[in-house]
Amino acid sequence: MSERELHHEYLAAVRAGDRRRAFQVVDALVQRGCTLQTLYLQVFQPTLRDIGQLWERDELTVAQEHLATAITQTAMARLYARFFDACPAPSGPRLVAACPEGERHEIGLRMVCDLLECEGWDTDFVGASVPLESFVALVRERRPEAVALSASISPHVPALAATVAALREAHLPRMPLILVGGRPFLDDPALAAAVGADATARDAEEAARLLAERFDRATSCDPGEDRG
Amino acid sequence: MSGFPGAVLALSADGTVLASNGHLEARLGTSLTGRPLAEALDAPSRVRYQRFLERGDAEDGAPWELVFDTGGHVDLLTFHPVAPRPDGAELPRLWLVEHPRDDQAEPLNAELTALNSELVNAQRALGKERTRLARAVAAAEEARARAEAATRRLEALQEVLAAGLRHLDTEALLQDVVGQTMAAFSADGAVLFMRSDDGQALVEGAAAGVIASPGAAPMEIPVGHPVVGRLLEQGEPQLIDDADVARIVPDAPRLSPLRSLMVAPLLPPPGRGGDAMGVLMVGACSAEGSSEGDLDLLRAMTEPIALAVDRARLFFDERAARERADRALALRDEVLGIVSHDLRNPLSAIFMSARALSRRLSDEHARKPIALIRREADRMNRLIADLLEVSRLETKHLFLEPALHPIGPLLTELCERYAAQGAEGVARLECDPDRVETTIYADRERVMQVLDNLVGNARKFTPPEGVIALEIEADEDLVTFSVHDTGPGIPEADLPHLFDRFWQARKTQRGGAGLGLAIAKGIVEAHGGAISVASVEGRGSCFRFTLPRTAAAYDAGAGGRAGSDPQVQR
Repeated sequence: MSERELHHEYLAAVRAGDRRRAFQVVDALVQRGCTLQTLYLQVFQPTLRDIGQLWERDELTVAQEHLATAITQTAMARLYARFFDACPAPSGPRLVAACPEGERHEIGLRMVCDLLECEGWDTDFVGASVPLESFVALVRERRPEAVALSASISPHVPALAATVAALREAHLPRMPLILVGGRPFLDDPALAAAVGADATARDAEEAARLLAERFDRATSCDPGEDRG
Repeated sequence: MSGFPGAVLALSADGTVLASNGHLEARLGTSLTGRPLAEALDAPSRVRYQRFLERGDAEDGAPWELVFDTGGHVDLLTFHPVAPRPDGAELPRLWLVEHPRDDQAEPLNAELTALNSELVNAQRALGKERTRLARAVAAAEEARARAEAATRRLEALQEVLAAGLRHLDTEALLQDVVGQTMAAFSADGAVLFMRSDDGQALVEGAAAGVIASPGAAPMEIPVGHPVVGRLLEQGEPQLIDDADVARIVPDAPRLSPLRSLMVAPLLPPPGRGGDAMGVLMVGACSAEGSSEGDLDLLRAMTEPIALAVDRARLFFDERAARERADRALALRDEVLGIVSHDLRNPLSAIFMSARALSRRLSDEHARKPIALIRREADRMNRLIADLLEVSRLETKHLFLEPALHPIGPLLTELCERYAAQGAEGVARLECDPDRVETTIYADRERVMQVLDNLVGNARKFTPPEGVIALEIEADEDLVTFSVHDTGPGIPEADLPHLFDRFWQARKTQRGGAGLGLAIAKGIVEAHGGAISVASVEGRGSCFRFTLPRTAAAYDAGAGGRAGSDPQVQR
């Protein structure tokens, strides 16, 4: 079975809510040496997009959509034991990622974290719907080089903007680079600047590449650059 | 059905209800938490449920009905898979939902999804933490290994130090040191080159491991060698790569199996100065280089090695010098014995002839030179007798015939002899033989010889108005003779040499061969006694010696003497 066929097989499995079959597909890919990047970007990311479209077209119930998401989350979790051991020891910059209050769609952001972890970043993924104040407190404590926030639909953008504003006003000892992502920013990249973020990315791959480039360059000359 | 929007149960791997939202329990009117779910089911449901537990999945898809023994029943709508445990084992959890209406399904599913997300996130954090811990453990392991390696090196250094202290023989020392050095670095070979006597070459002193070749001619590297010369100049240990090893190999072919080499000069110990004493090389057959730490250890090792080599050399030099001196002394004594003995024969002939001449010639002119010949021959005879005596003492062939003698008669004889030499112009001898009642166990003639010598010396140096006093003290075992005089005394610097052979306080006044005190010392010591001198310049001197008082004391002294000097004959 080709990778494309495996992707379709995976999509079929999660659509049917058959996690056993879905895991078999993932295991087969891992077996043939498929990297985490490939799994995330070639299998999970397109599958979840397809599921979302199917839900939009009313071809899937909410329950089915949630089950597909849950299966994919679990498939990711099954990879963690293998994946963290294979990662380089975290020596690069630190990233703290979270979904603002009310936002439950978190898989995309977790993928960004996992991919950066593979590049040697030290990532903390806080999860979905994180209360604003506790998030600011965490950023103050962890002193990350970058913060990533995501919103899946425009109703969640105000909460995200409020989080960015709170970070800007928090008098942090070190102001992190603020990266935002999600559907609304995909539709209108200019929105990123409007909410006060430093950058946006189309997907997990671009976000990882953008941050990696930004900090590779920064670490090679002046670590304090771009972060006033 | 109203008021029962959905039941949620969390089950452990063995089917025990870990937690629930209470809805099902309210409906059934019984508590499930902490109990195996199977216990609450009727028989057919229990079979289906067991199958679920074994497979971890519903056999025929949702929904299926579970009937409880209380008569209540629920339909299983769905279950959510959850994350595996860090060890990979999955924790089966069953979520039971009864008769969900569409408006109920949405919030319930959202709740389940959120719960699952949290679980996965916790799983992620756990995985990260586990990896971090594993890395910390690995780092700790590494640190422990480094500490162990450091300890091993310290022990190795101690071994090398100990090796340095173990030997005084240079060759054995070098061999031991090279072996210990190789062991310290777990190296494949080690070699120590020492600078040749002319300083122009480094000559193999010892080798170990792949470099060792017993019986082979020692390798030699000129000090001007580009690689080794540079090292000697810089005076610091260095790592030498394959290419530089290859440049040494033409001079030192047995280094050829080595791919990497640590080389350290052996600098002379502080204060000794001079060029490097040699070069220590430790090498491995693999190209994997040594670390800076290895160089530090090697540097630390070369110091005690250099010290030990220096010490062994000093010891060797000193021993050689002493042996040479001993040989010279033995030869001198031998010559002395032979010469003295051989001189006596012609001397006898001179005596005889002089006597014959004096009988035949009554001429006044002839008698004077003949008397001179006889007097000088007599003096020469005494000198020869002294020389023979001394060589006998040296070669431990002094014969003693000890016996128990009262001291009184001995002293009487001494006083008579003193008086017979003429009382005019000499110091008075104070001695009261009648008051001395003790005995000595000794060779009487030898003791007289010692007393004659000491009293004779005192007489020689004491002015006529002075006094020579002979005092005797006795305890249970020993008799102490003291000869005091009121002469000029002896300079303090001369005191230690007084009993040495051929030594005279005043080199210009040669009254004899300078053997008298040496002979006296030999005789006293042969009896197990001791002789000593005390003197104050301008006030006089006192010679004191001890002799055994009884046969038992003599034997005790002779016993001690016999242990160290078995050749003394009695």
